[in-house]
Amino acid sequence: MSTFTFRRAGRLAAGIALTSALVAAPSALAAPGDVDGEIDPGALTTVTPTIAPFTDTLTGVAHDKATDIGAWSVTDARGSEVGYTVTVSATAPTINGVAADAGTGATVSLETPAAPTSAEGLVAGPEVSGSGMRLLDADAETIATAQIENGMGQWDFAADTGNLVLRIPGDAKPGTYLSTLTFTTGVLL
Amino acid sequence: MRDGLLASHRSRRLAGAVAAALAVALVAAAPAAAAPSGGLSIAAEGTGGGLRLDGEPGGMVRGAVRVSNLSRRAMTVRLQAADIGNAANGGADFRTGTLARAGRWLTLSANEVRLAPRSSRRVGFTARVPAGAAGGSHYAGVVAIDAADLAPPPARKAAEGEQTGTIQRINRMAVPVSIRLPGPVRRSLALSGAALDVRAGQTTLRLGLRPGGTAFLPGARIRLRVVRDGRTVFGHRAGLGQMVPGSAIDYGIPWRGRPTEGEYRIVGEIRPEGAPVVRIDERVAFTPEIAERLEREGVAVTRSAIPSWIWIVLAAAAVLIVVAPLTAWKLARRSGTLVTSR
Repeated sequence: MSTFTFRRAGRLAAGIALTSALVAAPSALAAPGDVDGEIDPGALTTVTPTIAPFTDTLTGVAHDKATDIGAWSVTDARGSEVGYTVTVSATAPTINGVAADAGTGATVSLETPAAPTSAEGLVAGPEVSGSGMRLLDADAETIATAQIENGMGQWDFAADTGNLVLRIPGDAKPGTYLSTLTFTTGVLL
Repeated sequence: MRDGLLASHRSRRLAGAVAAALAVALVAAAPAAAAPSGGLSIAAEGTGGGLRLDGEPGGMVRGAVRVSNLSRRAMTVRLQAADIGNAANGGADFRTGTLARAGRWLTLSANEVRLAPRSSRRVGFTARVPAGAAGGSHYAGVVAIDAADLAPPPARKAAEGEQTGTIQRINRMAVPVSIRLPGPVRRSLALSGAALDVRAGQTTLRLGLRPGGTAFLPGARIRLRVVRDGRTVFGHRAGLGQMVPGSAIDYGIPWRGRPTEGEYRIVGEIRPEGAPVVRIDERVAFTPEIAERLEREGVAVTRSAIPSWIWIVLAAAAVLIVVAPLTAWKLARRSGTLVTSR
């Protein structure tokens, strides 16, 4: 039984190797009987989350407004085993383009995401950095790090409700609120 | 029967493994076929990691990156040189504002490229090293942004007394460029102090860290305790990411619980990789001014004002509500059976 399984697995492995070689470089077949090919590296990419717009009624006192961050993912198909980091930063909020109108002490806070999961059942994914709520500003905060040999394949960070919290100060003006979150995925040094 | 089930299970696992292996093989071999919707990628040419270039003070080095559009739509990509500083908890912070460090040395052959769907382009750059540059490693980067992310969001009209909010998001992909000049390799980390920071109703313990030397620190482990009157208020263990020299870090630790007025002692250590251990023995004071600011700024940012112990009590009550009638019914049924059997 086990011999049969190993034989079958061996044939399948050979088939996989042949298929990938054909897909990778069909023109690279050298001579009849030879299986020759080249596997090109893939890419490191990030699908950034959607962020729900919101409406808030001013109350004259400082309060928090929570909004939702959608699911996002990082895919490392480079095959290089060199890790990466994901950082996030935020611009100071503005109302109708004016920072002062956002009020004294307007802030943007992000809940640390849960550990990412892999639909392919991969292990050794990127590690989430820190915990709890963190205030965002122009200085980047690392939210996930894939150390060397980790984080390969696709890693999904789940959507969460109310995990982006905006402090609306009492002296904030009505109008159009805008802040920009910048997600940066960078290769490790 | 059991053997049949096992065989069936094994063949399913084998089929799953084969499918996964095929998927991996196809992804590795044909990246365009697996293009995620994010679609933007940048890589140092010839390597999957960062670029490492050897230079001399007063000299010039050349390198190249490959920018790829893996999406099904055409894409305009903005390219920028960047300084590399440290993120607040370690890790590279690619800074593209006013360049003040090695990012200034870079000149890209193109600041914007238009890419057809599923295409890529090589973009070269030069790095002119100043004659007075110090020995050791200098860190810069090249950052790519999908120009569509920079478009202003559609305006949403606010009613009187309301705010309509939009959080724009920008997706940047970055590749580091390390330029190594002759000189000794040294790594160090220093603690410059500790302080309490209160913003948005949150109290944060901040440690000032100063990575030094001539090369980046691969990482560090931090372990500390906050002590008051000989009692540990809370502890903290965490890892710090890569740190480049010459860029200060304001490392924040969320304060657990609500501090009270008085002095706290912070004891512990930071163990950087490749550098001496840093002992922590600092004192921070929760002054009446900080207490007043915390009070003024309101409650901490939480999603629920209900303490967690109330949720536990409610959950226990819910279980009781379900279990108690069931148990009573079972007991009643049993006693009924007993009566009948008599």
